[in-house]
Order: sequence, then structure tokens, then C-alpha cells
Amino acid sequence: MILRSDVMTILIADDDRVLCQVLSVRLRKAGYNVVTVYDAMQAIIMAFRRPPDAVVLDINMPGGTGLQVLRQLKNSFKTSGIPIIVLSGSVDPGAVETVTSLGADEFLTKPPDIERLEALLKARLSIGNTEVPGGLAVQHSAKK
Amino acid sequence: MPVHTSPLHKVEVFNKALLLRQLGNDRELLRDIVNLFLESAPPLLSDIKKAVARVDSPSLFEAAHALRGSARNFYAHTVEQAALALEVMAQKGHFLDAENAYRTLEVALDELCCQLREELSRGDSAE
Repeated sequence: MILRSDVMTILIADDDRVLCQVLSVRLRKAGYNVVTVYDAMQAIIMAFRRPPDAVVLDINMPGGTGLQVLRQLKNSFKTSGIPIIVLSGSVDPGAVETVTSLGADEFLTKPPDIERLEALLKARLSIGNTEVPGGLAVQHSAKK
Repeated sequence: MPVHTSPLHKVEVFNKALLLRQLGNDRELLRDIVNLFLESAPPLLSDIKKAVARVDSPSLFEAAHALRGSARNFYAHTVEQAALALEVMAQKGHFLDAENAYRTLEVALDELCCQLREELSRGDSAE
């Protein structure tokens, strides 16, 4: 059983500090507690030390380390139930397939539509709701 | 819609409307991320320049990828495309045209930084 405090915590792992700042401010305004890390090692340490309610994870951190984070969190009993929303700069079908096979819950292209991200988090974190209809969603960023 | 400013009729090199939508119209957040970008972009450009000179594919890929990602937050298509060209060259190990590609990126980034600074001054004078 996962005990949740009133304020849910989102762990953001991305080496792009500009995007981290945007997501952090927007998600705090939406009522979440936000923890931000800029590399894979910190992401794993933070997730194990104090498991968040959800993770927003850049899959393209240097050296493909985002995939290692995803793999490690989904393979551990302590963290496998945490919804992970993967962010990627590309919609390479191979990448979508890889993260799906590793257990990612959602896939958003960068820069993510924040309203969509908030909706996905809300759906994933609703009490008693562990599934979002339609399974893994692939969302493309807003048209330039 | 492109914004024209006299007398040069400059075309906006980032999509301000999309950016503000993404930021929930939060001007303070806009100022913060512009400052973050203005601090982080020049060192990345310098890393790219060094990597091109050294014909160092991994370093070029890493720096160009980071700069592209950062510029993408501003919907700065020209900088994104210029950085992507260098990323591709790094991936393929094709450095023949890398110096030209670097110069294209340098010009595009300079214009973006210029417009972002103007945006900051506009915000400051409006307060």
C-alpha cells in the first residue's frame, strides 16, 4: 500500500534546466510538490530515497541514461508502481517502442504541452485510478 | 504572426505566443527562463566551437543536442535547425561543412539572444 500525503510529489529528471524551471513552476502552481534533478544518478537516488507520486523523465539525458532510470525504477519493487511520463525530443517509433517495453506510462514529445501533462498526471494520480483509458499515450508538441 | 519592428522589420526568431501559452502567461517565469538561457547558451556555443575545431564527435553531439533542447523551449526554430545540423554531422562524423554550420548557428543564436534581451527590457520597462 502506498501512503500519500495531501500534496503529491512529482520528480522531474531532465538535464534541460530551462524546461525544468518551466515544469517546476507550472506544476507547483497546479498544486504539486516538485523535486527537480538534472542527471540520471540523482534521479535514481531521489526516487529510491523518497519515492515520488509520479516521475517526469527525459529519456534523452546524456549517454542514454534516461532509459537506465526508467529500467531501474520499473524493475524495483519499491518504485515499479510509480507512473512515469517520458519526455523525448523525437518521436522515433523505435524509442516509443523501447520505453513502452520498459514500462513507461506515457510518452510526450518536447516541449510538452503542459496542460496535457497536467491532465495526464491528474488522471494517473487519481485515487483508485491506476489506468488511463487507451494505455500509453503519445502526444506531439504544439505546432510551431 | 511575425512581429515587425521598425526600421529593420525583424522577423521574430522565437514563437512568443506559444511560449507565453506554455508559461501560463507568467511574465516572471519568462524572465527567469530567458536569463537561464542567456547564461547557458554561450558556454554551449563555445563547447560546439571547440568540438568542431578538435573534430570531436561526442562533444559536438552533446553540446549541440543540449543547445537544441534549450532553444526548443522558446520555439526558436532557426536555432533548433542549425544545432540539429551539427548534431547530425557529429553522429555521422562528417566535419567537412561543420565550420559553416557552426557559423550559421552562431548567427541564429546571436539573433535569438538579442530578441530575448529585448523581450527582457520590454518586460522591465512595463513594470
